[in-house]
Amino acid sequence: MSAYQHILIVDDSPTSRMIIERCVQMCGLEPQHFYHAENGIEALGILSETSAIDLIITDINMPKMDGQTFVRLLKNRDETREIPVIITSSIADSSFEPEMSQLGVMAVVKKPVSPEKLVGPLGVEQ
Amino acid sequence: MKDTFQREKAAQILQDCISSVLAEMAFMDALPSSLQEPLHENKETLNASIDILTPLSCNLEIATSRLLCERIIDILYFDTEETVKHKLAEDTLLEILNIIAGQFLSAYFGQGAVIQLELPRLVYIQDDKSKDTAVQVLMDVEGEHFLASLSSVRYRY
Repeated sequence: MSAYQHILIVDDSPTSRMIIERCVQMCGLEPQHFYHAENGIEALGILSETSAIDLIITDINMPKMDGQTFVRLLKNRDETREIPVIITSSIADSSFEPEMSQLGVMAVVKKPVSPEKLVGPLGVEQ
Repeated sequence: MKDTFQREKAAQILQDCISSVLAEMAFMDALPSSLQEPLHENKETLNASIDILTPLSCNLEIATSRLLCERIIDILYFDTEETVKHKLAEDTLLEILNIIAGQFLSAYFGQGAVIQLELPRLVYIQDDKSKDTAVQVLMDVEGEHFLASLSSVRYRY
């Protein structure tokens, strides 16, 4: 059984959330539940209601609360600090990467997300 | 920092980005097409636009048929109701634009460039007055046109 059973996907695009969900499944993971949030505020709401989340995959460029702010808040809270985070971004070599890496983000995956790009960060054997 | 694009370089990179994004996202082939051909006569066209703040104030707009967006949805989602598909077509176009813009800027300006994008939005009414089109690329995506226009933006303060 995979270590990731409850995955929170944060992205304002339903298309993008669906692609990520498919890619996770195509990596061979079979999580019990995918949670979806459109932005950082919604994601924090979900995290305050459940302690089950064991992986977060978040976009950077989102309305209301962007991915950078969301990750900063997440990593400042005792309850959520240890949850592994993968960032997805359409921009390569972005200026936010050093700070995110310092905060303990597992990986930054360039969009469009594909199973090949996720297997490494997810620790899945091909 | 330059205040405009090198047209040929920008057009080539934009073409490459469109091809790679559509191939990766939807397994579709995008090939250069002639700009003389009419764009989607008798077909509903969707337009999406994204403002780029840095490294250069500009705007990238894409236009394609709703039919192409719905075909992409058919690939991404399996069984989708027509009403849902109609709504998702617009979101899919916005996401494609977001990714093309990010890839284009990363490829054009190279490593270390600080890139800031606004959120992509749908365009219903064209406001050409404040735009100055620098590069236009027309692609044929499996029989459907896909037009990308890169413009410098004159901001009014």
